[in-house]
Amino acid sequence: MRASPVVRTGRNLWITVLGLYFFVPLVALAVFSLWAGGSRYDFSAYVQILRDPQFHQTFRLSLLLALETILISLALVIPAAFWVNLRAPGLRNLLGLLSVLSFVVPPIVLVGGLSSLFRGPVLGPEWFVGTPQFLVVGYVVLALPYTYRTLDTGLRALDLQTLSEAAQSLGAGWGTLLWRVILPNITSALLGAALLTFAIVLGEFTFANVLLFNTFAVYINYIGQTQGTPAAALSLISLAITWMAMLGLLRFGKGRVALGGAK
Amino acid sequence: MTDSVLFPVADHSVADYLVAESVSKSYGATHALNPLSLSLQKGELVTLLGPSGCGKTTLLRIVAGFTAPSTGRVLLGGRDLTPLPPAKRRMGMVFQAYSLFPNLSAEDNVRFGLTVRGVSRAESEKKLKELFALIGLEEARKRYPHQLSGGQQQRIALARALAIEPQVLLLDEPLSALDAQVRLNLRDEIRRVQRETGTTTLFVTHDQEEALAISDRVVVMQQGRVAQLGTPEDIYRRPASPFVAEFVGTANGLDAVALGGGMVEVAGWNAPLAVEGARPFARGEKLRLYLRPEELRLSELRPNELRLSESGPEGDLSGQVTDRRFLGSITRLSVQVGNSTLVADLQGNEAAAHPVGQQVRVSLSPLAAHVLRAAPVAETQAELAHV
Repeated sequence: MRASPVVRTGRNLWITVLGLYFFVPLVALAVFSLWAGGSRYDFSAYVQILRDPQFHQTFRLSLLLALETILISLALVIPAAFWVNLRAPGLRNLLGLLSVLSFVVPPIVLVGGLSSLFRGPVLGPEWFVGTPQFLVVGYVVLALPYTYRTLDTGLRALDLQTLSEAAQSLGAGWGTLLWRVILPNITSALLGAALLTFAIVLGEFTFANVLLFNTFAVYINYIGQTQGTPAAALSLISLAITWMAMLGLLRFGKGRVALGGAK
Repeated sequence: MTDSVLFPVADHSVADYLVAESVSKSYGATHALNPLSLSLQKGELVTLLGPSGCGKTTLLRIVAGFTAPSTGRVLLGGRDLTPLPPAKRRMGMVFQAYSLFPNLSAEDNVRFGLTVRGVSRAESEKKLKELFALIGLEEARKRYPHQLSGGQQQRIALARALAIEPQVLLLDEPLSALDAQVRLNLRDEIRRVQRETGTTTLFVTHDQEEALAISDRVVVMQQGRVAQLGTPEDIYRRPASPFVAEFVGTANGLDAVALGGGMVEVAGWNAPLAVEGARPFARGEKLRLYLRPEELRLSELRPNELRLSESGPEGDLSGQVTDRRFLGSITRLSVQVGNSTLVADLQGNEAAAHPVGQQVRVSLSPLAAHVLRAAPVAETQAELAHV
């Protein structure tokens, strides 16, 4: 049924207002990032940022930490979510609750707790706390609500029991089942979880700042406090990186596996 | 009749290929499957038939290895499979739900079991060609599951299960998600493929017509027990209990009392009825009389012959047509005889001669009726309430 002209106009107006709300600040930021004093506009702020060795160094570190966080998160969450969905659906609520704990525990408390834990006699080793990789421990916890929810949704879209039993009846063990049947059917969820983790790690400031590691978020904060237009340029570069990652995901997600049903 | 009498546990024949020996399954105090034994011969297609919750799928899953039995064991060619996981049993399975792997094309689905088993590419190609020819879906090899109809998906699933040359093929209601016509075609297809490959097959269904049409033998299950095992004809014509008689096919079930000498009396009928199967029952014994609708013949009763609700010398009854339902190949008439309503299935032309309201003579041969010792009514009704 076609909407009436009044409804269509109202809808378009609403979308326009929403678009302006999001895009006006971005356009203002972009204009400011190009300001070179007086009435001059150029890309000098971008050139300055891209030539700064700190930019590359901190970005590489955050990228590495993001990849490590993604790998560890997926390695931990996939088997847990798979097992809960297949064999222990009663535990789903408990796991869901545990996964969102990082929302109620402030990052500053989390980092303090984790540091005490790793410096104590139980977990250790103490030297680990002195490496940037220690951040990954906290990042996995921070990303858990997103990774768990995304993967759980992906797994719930599959008829896990039937697919698992079909694979087993054909001779597949658990490894083959996960690798050849389950993972290829939740690629969108895997990519979604990876992207969210990537965005969280790239923007995480508290952990790195408290533990004195110079990550990309700490660098953004430093530039923001010390330089005007380069800060605006850096914000836009950071935004562009995240958008490109999202576009890549959307593009890769196209033509993914169509689940369920019949022609 | 107990299960152990029907299927002696320790004495299965050497020809028995797949044997479920005293298997049972309990979940706490709930008995999903009472101890039962069952054996299949090589190349045979046996159907587990019963209403929801009767334990048929539990038994199939025990054989497949997906459910551990509480007691008993599963033997294949004399070898105990009970401790083996499903992946080590080499049993192909087709499921009720569509089970093709969505990320793989039809041919990759069929190839899956071969790859897992390390079969060479050349050998698996040859096998694939044979299997797709067998199921008549060569043109669908490259398609993905969502590009296939439900019937095609189940045929591919059948080919996938057969690819590993299973020792036993397990079919868990593979037709129940399909449309009526597809279901009929695929039913015949499964039987043809099973015969051609000679694969020993255990088929689960709640559809009695499907079970009768496809099986070498049928196991009717009831509340976790075997109610009867026999050929489809045995099950249909000589049901062992009121439950089987009323679950398999349509039957006019009537309470009757034995009069001795092969005569029975039905409450509300004015004259006794000759029933060959009633000879062994002593006078006064309470019986359940079953008349299959297709065994009844109707003829118009002229006004001068009207003797409502009387049994004639050859077992004829008289009654009145009260309802008619057109069911395509047959027309089902309801005939009021005394206090009972009988249903009679007639072919199209035959039925046209008997409009509603007509007085009719109902004829049946003494061999057409089947009698059983009456079971408590509440028990049979409770069992059928699950159907």
